Amino acid sequence: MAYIAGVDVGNNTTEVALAEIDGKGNARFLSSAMVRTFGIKGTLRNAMGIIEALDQALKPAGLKRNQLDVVLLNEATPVIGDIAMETITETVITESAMIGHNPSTPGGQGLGQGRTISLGDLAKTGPNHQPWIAIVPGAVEFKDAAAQINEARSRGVTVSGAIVQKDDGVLINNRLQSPVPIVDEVRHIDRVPVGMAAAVEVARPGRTIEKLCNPYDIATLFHLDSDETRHVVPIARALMGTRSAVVIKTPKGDIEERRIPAGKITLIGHKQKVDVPVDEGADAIMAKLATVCPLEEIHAEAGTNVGGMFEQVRKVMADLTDQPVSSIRVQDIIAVDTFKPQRVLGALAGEFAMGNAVGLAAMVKTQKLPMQRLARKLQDEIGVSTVVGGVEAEMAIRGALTTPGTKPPLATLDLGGGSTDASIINEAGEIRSVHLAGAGDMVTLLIDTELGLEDYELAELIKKYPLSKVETLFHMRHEDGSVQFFDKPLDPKLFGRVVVLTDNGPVPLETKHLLAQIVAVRQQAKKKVFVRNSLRALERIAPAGNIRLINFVVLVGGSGMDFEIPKMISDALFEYGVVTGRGNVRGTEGPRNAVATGLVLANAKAQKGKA
Amino acid sequence: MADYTPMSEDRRPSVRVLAWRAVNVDLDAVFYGLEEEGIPVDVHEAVRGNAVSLAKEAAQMSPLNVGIGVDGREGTLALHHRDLPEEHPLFVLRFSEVSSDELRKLGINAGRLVKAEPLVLEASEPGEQQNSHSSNDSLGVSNELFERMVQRILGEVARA
Repeated sequence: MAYIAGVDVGNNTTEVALAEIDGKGNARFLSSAMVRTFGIKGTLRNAMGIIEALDQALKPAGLKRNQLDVVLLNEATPVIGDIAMETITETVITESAMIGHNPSTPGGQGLGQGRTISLGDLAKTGPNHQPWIAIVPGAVEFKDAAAQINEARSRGVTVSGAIVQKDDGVLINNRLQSPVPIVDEVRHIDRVPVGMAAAVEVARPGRTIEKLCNPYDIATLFHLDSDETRHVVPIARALMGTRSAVVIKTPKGDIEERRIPAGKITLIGHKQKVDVPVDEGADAIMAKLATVCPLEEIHAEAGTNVGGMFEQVRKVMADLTDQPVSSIRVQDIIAVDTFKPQRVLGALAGEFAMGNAVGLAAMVKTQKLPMQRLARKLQDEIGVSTVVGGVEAEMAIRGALTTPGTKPPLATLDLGGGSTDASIINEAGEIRSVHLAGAGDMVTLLIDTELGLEDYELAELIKKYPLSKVETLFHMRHEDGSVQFFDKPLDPKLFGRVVVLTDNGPVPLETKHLLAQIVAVRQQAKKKVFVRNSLRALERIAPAGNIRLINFVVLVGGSGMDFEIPKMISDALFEYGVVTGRGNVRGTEGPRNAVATGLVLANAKAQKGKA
Repeated sequence: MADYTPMSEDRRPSVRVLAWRAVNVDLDAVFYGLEEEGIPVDVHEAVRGNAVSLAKEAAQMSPLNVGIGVDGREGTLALHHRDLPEEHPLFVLRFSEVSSDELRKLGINAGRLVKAEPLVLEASEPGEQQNSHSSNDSLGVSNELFERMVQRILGEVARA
């Protein structure tokens, strides 16, 4: 009889399975443990995490470290991935030309057109059949502003709209003899040019603006020719979906959507070599990638974000494996089209425009991670014989097969942080596996970018947990529509906000996005990366590239715990007639512990062979 | 709830203000805040009471469940919601300590409370305005603040 421990060091977690092997080579599992991985996978720092996990597993079994006969480490696949974002377009305003934003309470409604004029000059103006748009700086009290506009009107001057610096739109409008559309909360009011043709639009409640987001309506209002109309397209696009907007036509004023040179990547295949400019978008990159398959190496232009990312992954992997940077090869890449809200350069109220961007994930692979070195270090530290017990992908399959209701041919999908891994075992017990670029980290990057959070940690929370909207001080409505009530009042910070329901309580999001929009961004990001990569990976390992020939797909690893990914993948694979589900290793562990369990079982089998 | 009774003057949807001895305080900024948010307000005189209890009473009377209490003698005002326990008002302000912008913000927040929109909290507010209930709430602002203060004091003691 012997006590053995299987240890799986992953990118994020270190897992242990502890078992007792009887004389006949049958394994009886005693306990499991999971801790956070210390340091980068494959480095000596991992030992600390392993020891902690071992102690955690030994305690409930009532064993001490020295009672262990052997510790088995996984032969980790030496792949690491990294992600980068290249922005392809940006919107630039060369002279103040537009305001389009969502003040919570603009004044009036409808469309007003005229020349811009400061409030002071309005008093000196006589009636001349010329409509005006009044500019109201923050120093002017709303009562005075309204009085001055009323006074000018009484003299026959036409005022058809107003642009206001403070949050006074409704207050001014309520004091006008007849209402006009008013856009308020315009921070840089001093940048609004005077004496220029302008149009102000405020949407009806519950609607968005209708005219100023349509290039032909802008052309109609400002008498633009076809060339000029082409130039206002970025304005119209930036104003789409807002509740209020101002467009000002200045003589030199120009707004353009600029393409940013994003560099190119060179895909080197077995037989050919292809250059793809990144700004052609994700589809072009992925299409070219398919033509050069099998891929041997990728180069990216130096000085670009993508170039920097490739440098970085190569360097980390080179350091990790003590190999020269030049010998590290990029094995796979995935490109995803995305949007990036960007502050419009030259805008008046801090507007954002959606720029196009391409998200890229790359993965490099080398011969071997120095797990042997880690095993020696661990043996020195705990005084228990430690060996590298088996290849990770094979062990994962063995562990996954302990899920009740499965048998070969069976494939595992492990959607990790840096890479998407898939393995398959056929009836003859042969195992194939593949590692693809792009996984959880990329989803987080897409969420962060598309919501304009600039907060990776927060994006990570949004990825992991469902959302809810705090509707009153005592209840919130979850994203599935259900309502939860609380005995104690919720924090006023959360009131009226969309919150992420983390394990440590609700975290408020300081964005103006609606709950449904955030849910859509999150789900799209997961689909773009996880579903696409799952299909890509299964196609590579399936017999004859045909996913239909796989009977069972078992999700293992942390992503199997996600609240929506298993369903998404299950939906995608349903049409192939594949049984898909979250693994339940040993019938007790859920999708966790597959590799650690596999290590123990492989060792037990070897004992049986000897016996 | 009474069926089909015509809506009396008292049941108009509005934020209720109960004010005691409030002739010398200027509530206009509060009303402007509510007006900008598009929420009606009606003001009633109270016989006596402090700002918090008046606010609670006003919230209970308001069809929108939001009330503001004003104690002109003490120079305080409070914002309350019907469902909150009386001792936990949302905000308590002292006229002598706040600008008219702060008062307007209280009005805006009263309006947002009705509309279920996020409250305006970011500007620096004296600690006393923060309601006390957040201190026994794990997410409370004041907990954080308190911790930071303790850290700073400890740090300074250590340096000394």
